[in-house]
Amino acid sequence: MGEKEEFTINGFYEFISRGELRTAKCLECGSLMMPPKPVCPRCYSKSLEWVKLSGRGVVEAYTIINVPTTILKGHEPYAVAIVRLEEGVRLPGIIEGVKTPRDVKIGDRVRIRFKRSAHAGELAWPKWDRYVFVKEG
Amino acid sequence: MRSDPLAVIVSAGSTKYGKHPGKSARDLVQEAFVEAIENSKDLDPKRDIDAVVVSQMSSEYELQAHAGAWAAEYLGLVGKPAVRVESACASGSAALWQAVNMVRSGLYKVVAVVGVEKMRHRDTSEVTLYLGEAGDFNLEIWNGLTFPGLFALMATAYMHRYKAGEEHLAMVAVKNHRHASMNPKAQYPYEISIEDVLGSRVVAWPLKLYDCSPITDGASAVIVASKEVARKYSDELVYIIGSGHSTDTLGVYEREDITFLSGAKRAADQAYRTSGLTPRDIDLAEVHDCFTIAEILLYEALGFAERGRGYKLIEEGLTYYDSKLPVNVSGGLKAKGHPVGATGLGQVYEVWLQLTGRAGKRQVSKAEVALTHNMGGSGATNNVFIYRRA
Repeated sequence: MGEKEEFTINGFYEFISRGELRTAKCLECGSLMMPPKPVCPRCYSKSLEWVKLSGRGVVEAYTIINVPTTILKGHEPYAVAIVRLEEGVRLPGIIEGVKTPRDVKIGDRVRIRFKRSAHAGELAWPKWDRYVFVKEG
Repeated sequence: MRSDPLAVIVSAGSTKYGKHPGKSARDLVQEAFVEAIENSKDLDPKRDIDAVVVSQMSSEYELQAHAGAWAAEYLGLVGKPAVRVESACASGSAALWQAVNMVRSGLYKVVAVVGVEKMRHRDTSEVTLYLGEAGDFNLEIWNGLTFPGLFALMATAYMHRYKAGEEHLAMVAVKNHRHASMNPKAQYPYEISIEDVLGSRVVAWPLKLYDCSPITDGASAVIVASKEVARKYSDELVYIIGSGHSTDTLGVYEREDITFLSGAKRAADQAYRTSGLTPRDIDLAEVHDCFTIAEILLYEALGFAERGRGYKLIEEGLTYYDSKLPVNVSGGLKAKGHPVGATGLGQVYEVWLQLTGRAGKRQVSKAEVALTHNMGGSGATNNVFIYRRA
């Protein structure tokens, strides 16, 4: 189903809009990309496949944004983290419900949630959906 | 130490960094260039300058690209080859790298390198968006990160791992303001206290307003010449004896270690190798303190402190202008200002002032060897140069 997406950031967000976290894995050298790219930057192979990720991981770093860009103007304060996913790659994302540094710490377990709504602020492009992370109890 | 230079700095100039409401980027570039010409000897721009390299991060602020063309015009050099170089916040040093290589090739004898950013006239959220173009739009900026946010991520990871505190970040800002108070061209030529920093409003936790370099208008210019012709244009030459240029991943999330700036280390190692010097030989350094945490990380990447010990260096006060290793004696990006495209060249301007004995109150005594490190994005482009008095 839908595995004909191109191995690009657009393809990545196409899966996000369908409620799936997928990325490209190189069949030649085995490296897992984040985000997907049409050619493996490690070995230059175009033999790639889409793999589904669990969406679960651990907070490796975080910040609380008080001064946003035009994209999320009006939504501050909000937390953004770098999450180390179970599969080894890292993914940045908003942590839902966190507004102060007391509500999050390095090592917190999180899982992905698909919002299916794009706040783009004043931008006319892109129309990508946005995922977020939620803390696991 | 390398004795013959890769290229020679003949002269330099700079506008004051800060507010220039009535001027545009083109006007600022002219001002910096003219000062550089005035500081040289027997340099006739139309006769002697072979090419122009312009550094500017963003064409968005004034909806004006094609900087090579407008710079050639404003410098009175229409007809000469002129090109814009962009590596986000490392554009200035990238432009210098281009010029040094043009001169080393033998095809160009004298190259004018000018850098500028004119940004204060736009809304904060627009500036924040345009500055964010230095990071990864697809997964970082789209997901709500901002440029300060990228460094804030590195700060929380660093502070957690090495037990550093927000007060260590504040110490960097206090030092750089102390230095800027002696720099008439600085945007904020006044001192501040640790309490001022810790009490300033949060931009991207833990980074507060006074942890962040400001939004600045300004331009700087450097005239680079081959070693064969340099003596014609100045009696006070500054030799470039080491050069290193390294990239790293665009996104912070792709880094091998998000608490270490590997690209800066690779660039520095190349510069130390080509100059035949070590970190201990450096008398003063201008490094890329876009945020206080960056200066701490750079102490480690540039070899001035061991991994995880950068915050001890600032805690011990060893990087003040009159201490063991003067860092950012100009005031750094934090207090001198950060007109993005100009910054890398502003660092060279400070080195030129210091090594020719023109730095006034903030003159580092017996300064012979200097280092500049200029960085783009969250560490994705790094240029390190090492200089010595001729």
